[in-house]
Amino acid sequence: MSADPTAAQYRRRAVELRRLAAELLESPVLRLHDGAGTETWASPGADACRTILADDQARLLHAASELHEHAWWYEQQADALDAIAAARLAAGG
Amino acid sequence: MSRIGYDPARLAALRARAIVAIDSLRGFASDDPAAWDAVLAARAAREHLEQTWLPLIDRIIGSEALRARLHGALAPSEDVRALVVLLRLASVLGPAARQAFFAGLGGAGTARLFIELGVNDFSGDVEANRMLARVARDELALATHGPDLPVQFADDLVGGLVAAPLQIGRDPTATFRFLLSDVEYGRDFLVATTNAAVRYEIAGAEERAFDDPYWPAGTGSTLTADMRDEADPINLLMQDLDGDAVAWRTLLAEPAIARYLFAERRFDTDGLTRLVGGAELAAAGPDVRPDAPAALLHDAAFVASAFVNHLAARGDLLTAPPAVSVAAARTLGRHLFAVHKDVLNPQPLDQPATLRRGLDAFGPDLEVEVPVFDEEALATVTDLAVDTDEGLATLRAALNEYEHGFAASAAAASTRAEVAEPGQFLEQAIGQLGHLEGYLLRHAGHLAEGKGRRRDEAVRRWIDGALGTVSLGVGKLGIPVPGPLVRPTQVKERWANHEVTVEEQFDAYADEWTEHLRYLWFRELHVAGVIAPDLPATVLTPDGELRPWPELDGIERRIVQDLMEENTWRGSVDVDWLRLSDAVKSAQQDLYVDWTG
Repeated sequence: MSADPTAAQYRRRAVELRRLAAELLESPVLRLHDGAGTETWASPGADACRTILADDQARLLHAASELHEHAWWYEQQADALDAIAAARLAAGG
Repeated sequence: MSRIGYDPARLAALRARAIVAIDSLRGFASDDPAAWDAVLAARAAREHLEQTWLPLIDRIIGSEALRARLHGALAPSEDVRALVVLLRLASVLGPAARQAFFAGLGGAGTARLFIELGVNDFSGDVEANRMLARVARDELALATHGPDLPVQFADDLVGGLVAAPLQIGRDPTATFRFLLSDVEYGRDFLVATTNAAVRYEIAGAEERAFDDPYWPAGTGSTLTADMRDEADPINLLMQDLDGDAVAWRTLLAEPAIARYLFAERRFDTDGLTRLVGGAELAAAGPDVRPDAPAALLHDAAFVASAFVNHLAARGDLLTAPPAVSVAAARTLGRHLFAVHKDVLNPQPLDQPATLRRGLDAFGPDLEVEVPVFDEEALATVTDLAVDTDEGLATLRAALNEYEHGFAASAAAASTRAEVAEPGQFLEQAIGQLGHLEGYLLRHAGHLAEGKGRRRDEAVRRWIDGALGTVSLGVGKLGIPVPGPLVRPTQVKERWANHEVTVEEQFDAYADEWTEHLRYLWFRELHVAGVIAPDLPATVLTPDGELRPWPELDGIERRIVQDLMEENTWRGSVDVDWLRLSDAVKSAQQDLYVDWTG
């Protein structure tokens, strides 16, 4: 448990961001291309749909990666704040 | 080229998975500013699925459902009209969607659509159905100009029409007529449809009596209210092919199609005129030039061979319209080299064919793919070609041009180092050309009296055509004005009583014609440098060539005649002009024998 309230808040946000990232990575849209190939539909319109989907999937994966990075940064900040709080506690005690 | 197609079951599963994905993305939310980009990405992906994926999937599934119902019991007032509305929606989306619609519906389904729209259902909204049919026909025409209709579409369309049962109110033949009117289809589709229609007729030949209609008439479609019921679908197809040489060539380069259309198929005057017009375009049209691609020249030569060899078998040539004669003259005229080869070496021929051929007079390097003609068929079609004044003049003009080129080539070829005896070489060439001229001359007079024309006038016109156009191209030839008509009996009587006069007349013609060809050769030998007559400037053009014979006055002609004699009979090149004269007289003798027999 964090001694610093800000660190605690950072850790909560990190947990939330990792949950969001996991939710994105588990999203059915990232597997929608399975079964959406030319064996299912083939036309210029279908080609356009596949292109749009691939772009969206790339953006979502990038967003998930950024969520992890933010979560890691929050955790680092929380760890630092906790370390400072612990040092202060030790010095005061 | 994109393939168009879909699997209904897979598409339904994909639709379900897309909806799950949309729901999943809709639930993705966060207030954390660090997650904003992720939330925006999820929202964009959801909107794309909602606004692009699902509508397209739903349209396809919707058209599939209608198509399934179309193949079952179709109620014209509901499903078919809905289908046309759907088609309009597809066309708004663009050419690909329009083509996807027809590809999905298929040729047979499309045939059925139009048949049902034309059902003579008095309880239905006939006017609305007719309007929808016109809309659908226009959309079909647009779709045929794109690349993505299945190869089999036209086949299936014709198959769907002819397979449709003749029930009360349904008329596949009339539907076909409607489809072929007032609309412009893409070339590939039109050729494929014509091909399929002809093959349908060929397949049914065994079951048809000689005067049965090719296309059974039903009770009439409401779609053809303003059309002639007897309009022949093949005739309409040929009308649509119109002046498209490539389309005609593609169609007639198929041996079975060419044989059936040229030799067997019954046509009215308009139909036969269209067919031979198309054949002429394919075999001898403006794009059939020496520098054209080899494939084009091959197809053109094949069509020419099929045209001559099969057309000769028709039983209705004697009553053929004048346009058939002119088309035959133009086709033979364009392929005079092939005619010449077969005149020099006549052969029977079973099937139309092409062959790479050469002739010494054109030099050793010339070998071109040309049509091959059956001996009897060539004689029949030559008779046909010279059977009208316009055909006669057309062939004469073509021969003038050919003679000019032949003489020029032979004169040049005679100067080659490997030609040991130029005089002998030229004599042979002159004899070959005389043979062709004599062959055509004989046919020019052969049928003249049968048409109430004076045979000697026809021959006279043939000679005049040569003299009058010796330096002119085909396009500048004036068509000779026909002389006063004389009844055949009068001709016969006149000729029977004046054999000596007639023979003398022929002699005069032969002399005149020989003089013409002599001058032609003289000019070309001069141009090629084979002879070097001391010509006065007055008989020369500014660039040093001899002026055309008709332009020379009496004195100038006499000067040139003297020089011709000096340089060809007594000069270094020993050319026997009597051989030329003999060839013509021999042909005339045949003509005379034909007639007296």
